[in-house]
Order: sequence, then C-alpha cells, then structure tokens
Amino acid sequence: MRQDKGRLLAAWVLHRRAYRDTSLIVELFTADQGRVGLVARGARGSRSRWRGLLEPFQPVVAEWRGRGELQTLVQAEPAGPALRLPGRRLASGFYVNELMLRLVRRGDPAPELFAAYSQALRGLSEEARQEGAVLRVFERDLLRELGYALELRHTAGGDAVSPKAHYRYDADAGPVPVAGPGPRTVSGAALLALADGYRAGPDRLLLDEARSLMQAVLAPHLGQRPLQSRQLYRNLLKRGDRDE
Amino acid sequence: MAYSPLIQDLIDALRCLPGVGPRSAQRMALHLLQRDREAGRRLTRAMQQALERVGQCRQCRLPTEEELCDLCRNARRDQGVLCLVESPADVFALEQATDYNGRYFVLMGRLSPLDGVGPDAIGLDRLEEQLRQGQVREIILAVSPTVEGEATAQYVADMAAEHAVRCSRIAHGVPVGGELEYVDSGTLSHAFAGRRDYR
Repeated sequence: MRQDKGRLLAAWVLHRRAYRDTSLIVELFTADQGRVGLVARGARGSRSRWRGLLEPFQPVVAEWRGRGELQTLVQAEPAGPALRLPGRRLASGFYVNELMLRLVRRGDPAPELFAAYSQALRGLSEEARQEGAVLRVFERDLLRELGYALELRHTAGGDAVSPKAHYRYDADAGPVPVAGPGPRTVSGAALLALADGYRAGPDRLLLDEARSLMQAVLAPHLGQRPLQSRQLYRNLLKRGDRDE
Repeated sequence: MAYSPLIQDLIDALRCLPGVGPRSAQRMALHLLQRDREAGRRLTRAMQQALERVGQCRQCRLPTEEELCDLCRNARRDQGVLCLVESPADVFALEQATDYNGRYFVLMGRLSPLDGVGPDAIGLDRLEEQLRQGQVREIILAVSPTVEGEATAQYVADMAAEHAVRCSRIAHGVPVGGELEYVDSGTLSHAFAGRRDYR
C-alpha cells in the first residue's frame, strides 16, 4: 500500500536495528497501515536529522515511499515527547513491542489496535497505574484485534459467568465450568474483572490469575520461540525489590 | 572486463570492511598490487598477528593480546572505580576527553531483548563476579541514551544496589556550542530534567 505524497501519518516506533553502515531498519506501527517496515537511510550518521528520534516509545509523524516489504522513510518528526518508562517498566514496554512484532502482520490497517497500543504505553508511563492491569487489558485487546477475542462474560454453554464459580478456559469455546479451583482454572471474578478492564480497581490475586490465563492463551500464537522480553523482566524482578 | 580470480577474490575480501564498496575495494586492491606490494605484505602480517593473538582483557573486556590490558595493570589508576561503556571506541573517546582515572568495563553491546541480547551476552555475569569480590566501590554508567542503554543502566543499577556499590550515570544534554533551537527535543527534555544548581 502506498502513502499519499506529502501526508504525514501518526506512528509509534516499535523497533529499529542497524542496517549497513549508517542506516536503520525501522518498524513503525500506524493506524492506517498497521505495522510498516522501513529503511531509514543515513539515520545513524552523526549529522542525521533523525538522530535520537527513531526510538521505541516515541510518537512520530512520518512519510515513506516505495512498495513491498521494506519501504523508504522520507520524513519523520516527533509528535510529542518520547514516553519515559520508569525503571523496570521498560521491560514491560519491550514486552508489548515484542508481542506486536511477533503477532501483528505488516500492512494490515489496525485503528483499534493503534488505540489499544497507545493506551497501553501511556498506562505504563504513568507510575500510578497498575502495571499488570495495563498489560492484561492490552493482551485482551490485542487478541481481539487479531481475531481471537476471548469470551469472558459468558460460558461455553452460553450462561453468564458467575464471579464465585471456577472455570477451565477452552481456547475455542470459552470458559467451561469446573467443580472448584485447580491448577489450570480461573475464577469467574478474574474473568469479569478482565472483561471490565479493572475498572473496580486492580486486585493482585485477580491479576495473577489473569496473567496465567493470558500466558496460556497467547502461547499457541507465539510458538516455540520464548519471548526475550519476558526473560529480561524475570531477570529484573529477581534483582528488584518490587514484586509486580 | 573481468579480473583474474585472485584479484577478484582480493576485491571481494576487502569489501568486508565497513564503508568499503565495490569501487573503493577495487582501488585498494589495485593499489596494493601495482604500487605498494611491501605495504600489502606488512598489512598481511599485521592482520594475521592481530587476528591470532588479540583477545579480551580478562578484567575489562577491552581487546588486547595481553591477559590484562594496560589500563587494568596501571597501578596509578583507581581500581575501585569502574566505568561501563558499550564499545572499545567509547574507552578511547573518554580517555581523550576526560581526566577519568579509574578502570573500564566494556560491554560489547547493550541489553536488547527484542534482538535476543541478554545480560550474559554483554558480560554482566562477569561484572557481577567483580562486584562480588568487593574491590569496586563505584560504577559510572557511560552507556548510550537509547532505550536499550536505559535497560542496561537499570539492570546494572539494580546489581550495584544489591552489592552496595555507588552508581552514577553520565549526564545527557545540550552539546557544547549548540544552540537550543537546533537541539532535538529528546536531548533538550533530558537536559532540562537533569538541570543543576547554578551559582
């Protein structure tokens, strides 16, 4: 898909890596064109006008040309200050970006996902917001936009999910009631809180349940290769005193 | 016209160097063959010796053929202060620009989870070993102001806190002689947030 000439699109930088001597390959995420792979010629040179700009968590407006897998960045400007992710939240930011790179295909328009992604990053940059809640809501929305929406309010049989009941989550059918809590079950309360986006305030136990649920649901989509950012997160946690 | 196989081979080999395209590779090859074979022989010897013998300093990971590099052996340098940098070139830049008198630790990269570069790949396990031995009392983080540099800094800062080692990070700000109007917004906001008392 081509971009109209002279039109700047709002985008986030997901990732960039060195290319040739002075260039970068940049992965942008936009509402209109989804994920876009671009070559930024000379972006690593000491006089590049894009120096310091093409960084993750930086909102930009950009224009590019070309066709195929890798297009050419023509223009890029900041669309506001880069988000500062305090301390260990950086690892969560990497995690969100890694999910995007692994699960979102290039070139699919994704306005809803763009909103969800922006919201997740802003949530992570605000220290008062609960990190786990931000991540779970993002995972929920990401799955929905990929076409694998979770059924959180109704059971596989079509009944309303009850906060006091326990369920086994079937990836295709949804929550299946079970007699009581077990190793791979999730409580109705955790499902409903996630469906609600933790509007009643994040609860540590419910969030832990949701994290296990999401890990299990995401696993088949992610395949065999482990998430690198999860590893970094664990490493940081092992050292840090905070337990999120 | 095609070059003979040996010449073509030389041209192709020279292209492995950064900044050398087909045209400059051809010029270099022809220069060595036609004008200065002695320099070519010297280049071969130097390259062979360096490639065979140069490894890393056991302590700071700076490239050297010795077991310990000059900087680590130097008794006049403060062995209790450690400056963390990403590449050997950073060491030489700091040596020229500052009067820093401690040791270095070269990471040879930075934490980059999305590229699969973890703590052990940049020698942080060896850094921790040095902290555990208790000679280091201060760490200066001179990693680049990118998100990966930030992640690296955070990781090392946690490690330093665990071993009760003082940890600071070099400031990022407006370049000397730069006019504010032309400074990029990221640098400017860092510089503003990191302002200092002025009397």
